[in-house]
Amino acid sequence: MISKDPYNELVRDCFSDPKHAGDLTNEHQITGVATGAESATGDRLTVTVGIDDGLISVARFRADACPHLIAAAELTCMDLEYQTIGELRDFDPHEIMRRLSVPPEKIGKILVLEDVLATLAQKFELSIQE
Amino acid sequence: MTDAIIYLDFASTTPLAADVAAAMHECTAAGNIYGNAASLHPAGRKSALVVDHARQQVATLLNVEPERLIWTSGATESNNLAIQGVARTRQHRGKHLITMLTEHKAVVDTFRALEREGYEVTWLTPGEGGLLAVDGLADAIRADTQLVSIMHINNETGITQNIDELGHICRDRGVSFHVDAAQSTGKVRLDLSDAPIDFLSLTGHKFYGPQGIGALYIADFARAPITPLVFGGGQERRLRPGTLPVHLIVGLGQAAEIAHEQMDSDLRHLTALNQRLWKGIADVADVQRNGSAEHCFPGILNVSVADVNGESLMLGMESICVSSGSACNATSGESSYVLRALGRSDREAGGAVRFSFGRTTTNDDIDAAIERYRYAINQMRSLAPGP
Repeated sequence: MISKDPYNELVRDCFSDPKHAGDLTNEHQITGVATGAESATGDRLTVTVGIDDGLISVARFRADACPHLIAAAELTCMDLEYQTIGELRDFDPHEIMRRLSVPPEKIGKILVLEDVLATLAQKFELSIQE
Repeated sequence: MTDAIIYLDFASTTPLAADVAAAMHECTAAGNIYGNAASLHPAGRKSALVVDHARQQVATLLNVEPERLIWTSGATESNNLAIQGVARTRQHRGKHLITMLTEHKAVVDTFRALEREGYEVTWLTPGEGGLLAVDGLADAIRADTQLVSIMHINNETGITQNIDELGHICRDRGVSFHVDAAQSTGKVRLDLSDAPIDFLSLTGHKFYGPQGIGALYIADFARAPITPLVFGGGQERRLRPGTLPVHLIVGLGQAAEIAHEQMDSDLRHLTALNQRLWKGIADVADVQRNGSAEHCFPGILNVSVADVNGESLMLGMESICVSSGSACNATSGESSYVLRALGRSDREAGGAVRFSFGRTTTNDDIDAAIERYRYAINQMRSLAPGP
């Protein structure tokens, strides 16, 4: 038995087989993309969503980041699908972090995800206002 | 994890050699050797005899008199004993000390602690290829310099300093010279009989001996007296009191004897493995070798890519046990200070992987590491956002 594994099973699953990694492949009524970076580590994250009939139909990500952030992005994209833009704005990544058992010292690095989602929500709200 | 583990982290620690394990088992077998080596009765004398034999085995490896060796718990303690010991003994003469930025933490943190106590430390930076320039050391030595401490083989890169040349500078200037040889003892030929080295630290578990045992070589107790770190008995010339761990010492002695016999063939084996690995990954886009082949110990190959997160790279090739240049799991989040001192960026240092091989490493192990490294790099790059 190998103890003190820094990654729980969910992190390992999401990291080894990120089904939501990549780019949008189909046309959507509205698309949005936001990018964030963590200056200390150089980690980068891009989230792209396609919206049809007021719902997020597809969410995809790309990341050059640590396993926890990759796993968090994968879970977030999975959870975002079939949500409204309003739910995107209210999305709380802390629940994702809890599920991934993100260690306290890494929480700051994962918050780049929160920034990306906030930027994305802001872009959609602006485009709707226009 | 279902993949079989392939161990390529011999610079961290080596597996116990079978003959070492057998010698230790024989020592600890019930009713065999159990006496306190400091006791004068027959059981104690029996232990003292095997301790003396082990001391001779290590002394033969270094070509020194066995009386020059002090048992310790490992290189960290040996480094502390030498550095703190010299600094405290001679503080009335001066409080200036010299070391390098690329030393192991066991040396760096010892000097940092002395700085907090009021000692002045000059931190030398490596030159081209990681080597310390002899002129740079000569220029740094002052009238109040008491000690220079330079590691022989760097634990991260394998870069090998010319300790003979550096030692002569120290000797000419009347300054004590300490060498952290944790990575070189038992791996490359060390003949200290005529070397300008006053103190040398070694540890057993880097050359197939047990963990928890090491030694400090002291060239001349009279010329270079040191203050002990701990007090409590007369063992090891009162420099390192405490009951000797006889079975660990027996293991270290046996490991030294095997290393002495097999060193040339071990080195040929490591050189072949190193070349095979580098040949297999040298064409990965933007991969850099940290430390030139010319100046590196062949048992270590450290490589970097700048565009891949080091922690993810490590998880992607998890079945291959290697070390990372990244400390992203730790609270510091800092990349390797050694690689940054060599001019690597944070990202390059963070994306570094140290492969280190040993006696039991096979070509198949190397081929599996090549395949896994290439696969993990490709995976991470395919996941990354555009520039």
